[in-house]
Amino acid sequence: MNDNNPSPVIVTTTLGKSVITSDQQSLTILSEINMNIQAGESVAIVGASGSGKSTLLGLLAGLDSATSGSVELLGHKLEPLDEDARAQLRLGRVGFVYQAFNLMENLNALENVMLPLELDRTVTEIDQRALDALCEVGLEHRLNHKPGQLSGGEQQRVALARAFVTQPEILFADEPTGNLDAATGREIIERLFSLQQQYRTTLVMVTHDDQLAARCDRQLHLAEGRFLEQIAGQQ
Amino acid sequence: MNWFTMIKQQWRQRWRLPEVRLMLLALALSVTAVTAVGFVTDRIIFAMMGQATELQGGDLVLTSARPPDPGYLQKAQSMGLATATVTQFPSMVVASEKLQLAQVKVVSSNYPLKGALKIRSQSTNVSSAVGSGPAVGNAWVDPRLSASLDLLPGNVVELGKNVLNIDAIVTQMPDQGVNAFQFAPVIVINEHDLEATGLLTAASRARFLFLFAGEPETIERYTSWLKAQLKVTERIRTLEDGMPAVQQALERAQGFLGLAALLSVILAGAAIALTSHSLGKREAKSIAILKTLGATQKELLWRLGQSQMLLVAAASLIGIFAGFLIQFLLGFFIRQWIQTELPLPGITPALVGIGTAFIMTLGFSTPFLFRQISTAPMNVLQDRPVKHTVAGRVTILSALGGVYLLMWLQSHDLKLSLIILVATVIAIGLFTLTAIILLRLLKYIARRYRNTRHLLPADNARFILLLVIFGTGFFSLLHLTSLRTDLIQRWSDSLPTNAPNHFLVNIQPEERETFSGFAVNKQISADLYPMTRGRLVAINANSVGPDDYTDDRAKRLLEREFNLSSTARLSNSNKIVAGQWFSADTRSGLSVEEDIAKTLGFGLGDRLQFDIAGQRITEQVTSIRKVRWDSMEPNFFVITAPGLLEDLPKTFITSIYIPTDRHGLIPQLIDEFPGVTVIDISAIMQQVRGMIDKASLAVQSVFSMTLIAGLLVLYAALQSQRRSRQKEIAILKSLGARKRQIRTMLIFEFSILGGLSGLVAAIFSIALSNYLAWFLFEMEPAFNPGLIAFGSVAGAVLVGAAGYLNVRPLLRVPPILLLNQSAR
Repeated sequence: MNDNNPSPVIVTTTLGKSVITSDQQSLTILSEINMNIQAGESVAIVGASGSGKSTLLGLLAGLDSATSGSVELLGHKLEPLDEDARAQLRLGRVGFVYQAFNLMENLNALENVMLPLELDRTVTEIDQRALDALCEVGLEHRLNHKPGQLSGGEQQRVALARAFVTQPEILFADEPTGNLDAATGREIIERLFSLQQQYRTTLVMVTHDDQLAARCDRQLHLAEGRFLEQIAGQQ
Repeated sequence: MNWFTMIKQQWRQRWRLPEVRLMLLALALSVTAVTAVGFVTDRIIFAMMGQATELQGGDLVLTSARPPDPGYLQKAQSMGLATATVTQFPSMVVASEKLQLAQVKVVSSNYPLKGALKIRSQSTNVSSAVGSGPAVGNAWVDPRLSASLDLLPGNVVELGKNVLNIDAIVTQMPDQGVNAFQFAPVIVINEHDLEATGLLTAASRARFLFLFAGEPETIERYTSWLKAQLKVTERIRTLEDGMPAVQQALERAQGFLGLAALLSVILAGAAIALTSHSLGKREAKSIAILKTLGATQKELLWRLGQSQMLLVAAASLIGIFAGFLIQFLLGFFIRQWIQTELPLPGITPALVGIGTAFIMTLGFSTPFLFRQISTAPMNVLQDRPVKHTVAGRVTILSALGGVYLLMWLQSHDLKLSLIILVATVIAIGLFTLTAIILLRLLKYIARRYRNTRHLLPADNARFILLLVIFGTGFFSLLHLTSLRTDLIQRWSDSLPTNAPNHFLVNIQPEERETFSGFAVNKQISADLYPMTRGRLVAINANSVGPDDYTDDRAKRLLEREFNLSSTARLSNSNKIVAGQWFSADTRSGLSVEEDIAKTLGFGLGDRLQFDIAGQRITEQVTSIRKVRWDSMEPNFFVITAPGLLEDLPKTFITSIYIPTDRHGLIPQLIDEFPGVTVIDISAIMQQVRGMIDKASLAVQSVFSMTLIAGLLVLYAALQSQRRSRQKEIAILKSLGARKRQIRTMLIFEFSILGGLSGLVAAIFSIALSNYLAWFLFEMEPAFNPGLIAFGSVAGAVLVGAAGYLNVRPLLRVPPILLLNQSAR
């Protein structure tokens, strides 16, 4: 859980990512990314398609490795850590909400929410906590439904419950309303912000929705793999 | 765009889909398995048939009690077949004022057409193979005639009015098997010397044989022509007539090879179905998109149909080539091993291969695509769950139809295919049920013990599907393993190294005691069976004769006398299938062999009357026996209760084993018991053993092909679930699961899956093996507890290891990449 003194939970220094294309050329996706995100803060990363938003999110969460620079997540530098150590760091402290929901297709709503708790051997009262989380998103009547039997909005609510059930310090959200209609999208955002406030979770959200971005404490504009502020500064 | 460019373009597009690549691999591998099994079976069966024809002296043998129409020979020659004739009749042979009743065998100059004829001439004491019979003016005698008349090469014999020079001792004749139980010794003469003997008249009891040899197709054409010409006295000799032992070995081998090929096909079918299922899912989106762009169902069907056929063509080409290559290599080793030239395989396996690819695609793959074509595009695009009740049934029916057709293609046996199909369906049902019960049990246990729930399979449907597939696969392989072991064991049991190799007949009742003493003295094991000749004259007080039956075999059985025996002990090669064997105090009743009872139309409880040297005895059938004719023990169609033949004229018969280094025993035996006829069957035994060796090897090689098909299913099944695993691993990793945790989950799930599949498979396999062994191969049932332990452990280890190895690369990929891939 957060403490009351804001301190950076994510720090990046000259972070960069490039890949080798099929014709053996180096393609830079991100470069020179410097940022600080404080505990409890909500930050929107905005930009056009292909600007590198999702790649940045993956790097911040330790789901991917950078090719240059460094990321510090929850006080730990990610570069020296292997994948297992990064996973261990995320366990119970980091939550995710994706555009494509990414629920386990053959687990029901309750089992999906129980999953992160089960992975942590120190957690008790798994069933009750998962049940509470689902009640909080208003799905107490859909516990035994599988993702295929739920609407898009309901699936995203299950994903929210799964993300918040461990009361994480940081929540990464990748276009959380991208697959939903406007009304359902609004409902999900309300729930997301309410939970974020409730648990004082740091929120890092990738979106191209300006209205949604405006609800965050801060917006970082990404274009061609760099922050616009940085581009402006250089010019 | 020309046709070729279109095909090329379409192929390039399709080739990008991983499922298409896997499907091509699965299809090509199944065609490989089917064609290789077909080619190998073809070659080995051809070789075995070849050896069998060697035993009877030709590819086709016509026998008759009257001289057959010489037109038969002319017709055969005009068709390009080689022909030879043999005439046999009993006659007295005189040498140095000694007389002996012998079987005269008159052969044409090109006898034999098939098989080895070996003689020992005066100059050398070693047997050597010769290509034809004795020259005009010469005769050959067998060792028995040579012994009884003190004849040696260089001596002369009188045969009727002719005098012939003994040129050699004949030690092996191709149709010995057929004549093993003709008790008289043999003299072989040239056909041109027959007339001068003046022995053969219209009234003679002679048997005329026409032998034919040539290309299998020509033989087949000629046989059908000949069948239409046959007179009442003429018939075509089949293997069964003369060599039930060989026939049984051949039938068992064919039965097994067919079954092994069938199971390979079922396994390959499972692999195709799995891949098609994934392909159907993958294609759903592109089909939906094409529909939204205005493609009609007909256009889509045409498009998909084309690419399916392209797949069939490619798979067939690759599969047939690989299958041919494998059989070529296998053929090479088999040839080295059995030291026999293997005939080239026919084209049929290649055609079966193409047919297999076609049926598999049509039966297993097309329904999945149909299903996608008929689904409303919005359902697919919005990822809505669609219920395919009717389509699901069609898919199952089509797959079952496909399996049935494939099995028929392999076995050409509708009934056998149906039995296996039903067994497969039952097995699938049983595995599904077990999987469901087991999942519930696992969930129940997991609920009680925290921190175990995550070890449960994440996908119930997938767990059930994989359990059914692995279960069916293991079941097929285990079933085949136990059958193969039984079969080979059974063969080696039926011909142990010390199996009897000499028959002794004509032992007189008064010689019985002295003979037993001799046997004990020489440490030979010999069970004496009384033998009385009698003609069956009535069944249930209704007199019977050859004219009462239309069946040739029945007619022949009634024309000649039966060898009746009497014993209190049922030998190992006999099994009672109905009624009761004689108890210690039974003094009446008959035990009859089941085939003869069937042929002559009588059964348990019927009363049979025999005429034995003018005396009539009437007895009730109290038991029916199944006889293993390949045991090389004296066996009888009819056995009477002990003591029944006591006062009737009889001789005794026995079979003994004489090792090669104790062959000197035979002259001693003949010296001491001059009236006893010794029949050396070691040559036949050797031939039968040779065939059994070939059959065992065929069984082993075909079995290894089935194993490969089994591994293919394992691979296809694991591949088919890789995509969904990928997403699961990505989610678990993003939630903070460590590799070790994921690894434990995967190994646990795969091992449980494999262990359970193996366990259920073993239980089911034991049940079916026993049923089939009894039904198909006439073997005793057996329970094999080791198989259950082996099935469970092997299943757990194999699936645990293979499953984990299959998904291990996914553990190394960064989770963000997995997510990107699975979203694609």
